[in-house]
Amino acid sequence: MIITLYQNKSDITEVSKSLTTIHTYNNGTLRDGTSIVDPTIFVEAENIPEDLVNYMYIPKFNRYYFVYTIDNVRKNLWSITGHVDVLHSFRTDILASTQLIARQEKKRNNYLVDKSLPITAKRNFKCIEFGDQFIENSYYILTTMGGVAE
Amino acid sequence: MSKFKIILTNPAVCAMLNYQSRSIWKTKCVTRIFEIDYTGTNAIVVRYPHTQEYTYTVDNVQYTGQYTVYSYYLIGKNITVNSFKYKPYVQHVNTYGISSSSFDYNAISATGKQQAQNNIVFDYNWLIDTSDYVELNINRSDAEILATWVPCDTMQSVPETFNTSARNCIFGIPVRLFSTNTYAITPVIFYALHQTYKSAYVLRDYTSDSTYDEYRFSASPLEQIPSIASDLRYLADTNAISGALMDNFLFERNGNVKYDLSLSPEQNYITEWDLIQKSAQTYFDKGKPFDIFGSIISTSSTSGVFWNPTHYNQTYNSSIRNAYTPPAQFGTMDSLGAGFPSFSFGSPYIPYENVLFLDIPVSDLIDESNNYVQTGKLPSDAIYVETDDDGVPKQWKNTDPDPEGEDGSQNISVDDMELPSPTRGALTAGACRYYLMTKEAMETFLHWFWYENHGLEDVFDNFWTNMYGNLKETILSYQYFPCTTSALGTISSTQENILLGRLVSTQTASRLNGLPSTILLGSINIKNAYKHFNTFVDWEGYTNFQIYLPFAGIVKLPTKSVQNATLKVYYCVDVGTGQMNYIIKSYPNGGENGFVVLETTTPIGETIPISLMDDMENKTKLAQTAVQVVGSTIGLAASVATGNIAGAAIATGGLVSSAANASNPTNANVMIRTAEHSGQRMISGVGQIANEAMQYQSDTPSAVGQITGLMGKWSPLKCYLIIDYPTVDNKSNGYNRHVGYLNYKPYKLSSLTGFTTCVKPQIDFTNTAPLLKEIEELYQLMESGIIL
Repeated sequence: MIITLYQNKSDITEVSKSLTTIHTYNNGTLRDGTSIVDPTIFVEAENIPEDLVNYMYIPKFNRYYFVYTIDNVRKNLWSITGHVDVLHSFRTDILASTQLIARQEKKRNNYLVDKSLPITAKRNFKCIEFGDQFIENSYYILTTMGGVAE
Repeated sequence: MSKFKIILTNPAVCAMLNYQSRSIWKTKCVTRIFEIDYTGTNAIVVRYPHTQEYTYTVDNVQYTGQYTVYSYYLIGKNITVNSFKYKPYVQHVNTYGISSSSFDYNAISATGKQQAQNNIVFDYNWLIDTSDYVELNINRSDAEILATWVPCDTMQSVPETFNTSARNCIFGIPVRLFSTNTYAITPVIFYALHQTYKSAYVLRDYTSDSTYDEYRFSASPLEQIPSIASDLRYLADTNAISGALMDNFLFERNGNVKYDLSLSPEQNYITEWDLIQKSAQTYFDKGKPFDIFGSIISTSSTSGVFWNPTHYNQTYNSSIRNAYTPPAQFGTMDSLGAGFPSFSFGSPYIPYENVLFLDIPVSDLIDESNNYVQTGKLPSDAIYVETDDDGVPKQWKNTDPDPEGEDGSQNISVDDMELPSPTRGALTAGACRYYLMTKEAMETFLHWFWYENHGLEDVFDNFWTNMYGNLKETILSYQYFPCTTSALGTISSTQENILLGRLVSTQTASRLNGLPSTILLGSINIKNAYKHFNTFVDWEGYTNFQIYLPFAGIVKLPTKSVQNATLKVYYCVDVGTGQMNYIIKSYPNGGENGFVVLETTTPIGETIPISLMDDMENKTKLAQTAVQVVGSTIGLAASVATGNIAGAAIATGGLVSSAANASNPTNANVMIRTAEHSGQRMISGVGQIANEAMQYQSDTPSAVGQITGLMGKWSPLKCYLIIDYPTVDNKSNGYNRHVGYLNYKPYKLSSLTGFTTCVKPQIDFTNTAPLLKEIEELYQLMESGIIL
């Protein structure tokens, strides 16, 4: 079984990972009792750069995996346990799909009320004067009864 | 070689349209496009404030103060500007014709003016030149002209009769240098920059500068920009001022601060129309229209650079820094430098409303910008608007309007709620007479009333027949109204004998014999200047509007009805009852049709007792009014089930009972006084409860009234619009990256980048077939958030 080890510096939630190839082995074997989702692979190698490897690809399964552990079973035999990265493995179909987007980093529907938006208690105030001013009048109004006679 | 663009827009139009649409942006907003090709790395535009002291004189009244304008500086590592291209977008249409041979390109003489007076009006209709770009390679002097002429781009119409009236005349930003550091410039300019969509610029030949002493602007030398090394600085130099994004703007009149416009940049409006109109009208009354700029457009073959196509091919091949030197053809005329004006404010998508920098970051932080030049780390406040292959900002594409109206546009249909002009009422009913009397005339009348013998014949007649009755009972009221007389009604042209029942007195006075008209007290435009976010935060529940009305107090306005609208405050006075009615109409989007958003009645007439009975009646009315106001407010407060409100209601219980007791006839004599003296405090307390309650109520207008017109005289006598809005901090904290903005629209995921969450994802797997466990995990991830 072929297995390619990578260094992944992308966030685990990133769909398309940015990978740096470390090494490809042709002698991988699937440990009994493990699955395609959480496989453990035995690799015969003199050394595996544990400080670099955190990701792998198994062509036979056509899946990419996060590497959980790398254990030295014995001299020149390594055990690599991983968990499938469903995002990168199925990225072609994911990216081709059309989804209803709830939240997005760059596209915004400005007038949907977003109650999660951090709004501070600090308020901004403006007081703007406008219009004419009421003026003092020099007249008084006397109201009397008597509207008939002229 | 790299390239960035500067787009100059009509701020008013763009603000109105919110830059939401590519098509609108291209056809309505853009006035100029500059393309700058440069070599170098880590280029960034820094906006830097310059504060100036100034004095300003109108009619020998001196105003002093300071304001801050901002210059844009292009900085970067080893920056060299290779070319500076100008692309006009606006087709200039000469509507009025050129009547003077001395001027060309949209310059006309005003009707009725002689050539010597040289009123020059530049008129532009907002028609778009559909031809492709006309590229202009300019020299550095011309670059300066481009900058200083930008405000003129916003002219839209010419006053029809501006030779006799200032009308909407606004004066452009280019200044005329009278002497060292003394410019002809007025606050009108700054107002103009905010109001340009309905303004015209009136320019005048500078040769008559000696007549303009009253309109001088003294600016102190500009401060030096401290943090940008001169060899890194482009676009504007230390002596260049560009734009007028006003800040720190204070008017002082003879040492007293009159107008404090020291608000945040987006709030700066000059609202003092009196000052503006006065300065303009004074000038026009003299037959010498205001002059702020020289004959930049003339028959000289070297001038008219901005409009004359023959000058569009000048070559520019060196840095445009130090471009503040006035071009030779303008003699002593100075300009504002080579920078690019900004008269506006930021929005979520663009750096500044009418000066848009594309394909280059923009920052206000000099230190961080300098750091960017060295390290490539963008400043924390940097706004970077990228364009696509079509030259259109990508962000704008994202905000194209959709039929659901999420762009903030409103579906508004308003039939105008016309205010009637009634002709029949108490004033015209004939039963009562309303006499207009000066204080002296009233004293004469009262002397006659109380002390003079009204004639033995009348006395005997009354003794035997009681035909005149008790004369005191024929006087219904004596009131004072602190408003213009025209608000009270139409006035008879002749003096009439005052009637007291059947008795025709020997005293005379003018009489109110017709109903008053509704009077426009003032208007204010609540348009984009008060939209701070272009999001839901500008609206209900987040941004609140209140209005202070003289004699009525502070009233909450419904945000949904007044945002993006022009408010007009009308009032009318009913002399018979001493009441004043306020009507506030909202004109959405500044349209012609308005609807009433508030109508409230408040006392304005001050009743003056001339008999004991009058005094008793007044006090009783006072107490009854207090009880009504308290009662209604308590009902309101009680309906709000919050501890604070309930507590506030309890706290005023004493006042309530006092007012209630006052209405009891047995306690009236005592309690009337209590109510009279505590009335104002009661209303103040009640008003506080009401205001607090309103914050928790639905958005319904309400009023808190004064008890008497007497007390209102000591309160402010002009209208005030009070706006409060929250502070939103979603840019610096990575909200969009970690939480994401709400969207709720369908997208093909390959078209998106960045953090994304999906609603009930569905995928057709056409390649590798995932297991159910994998599908479940995938969907869960897509719902919680993935990065595309």
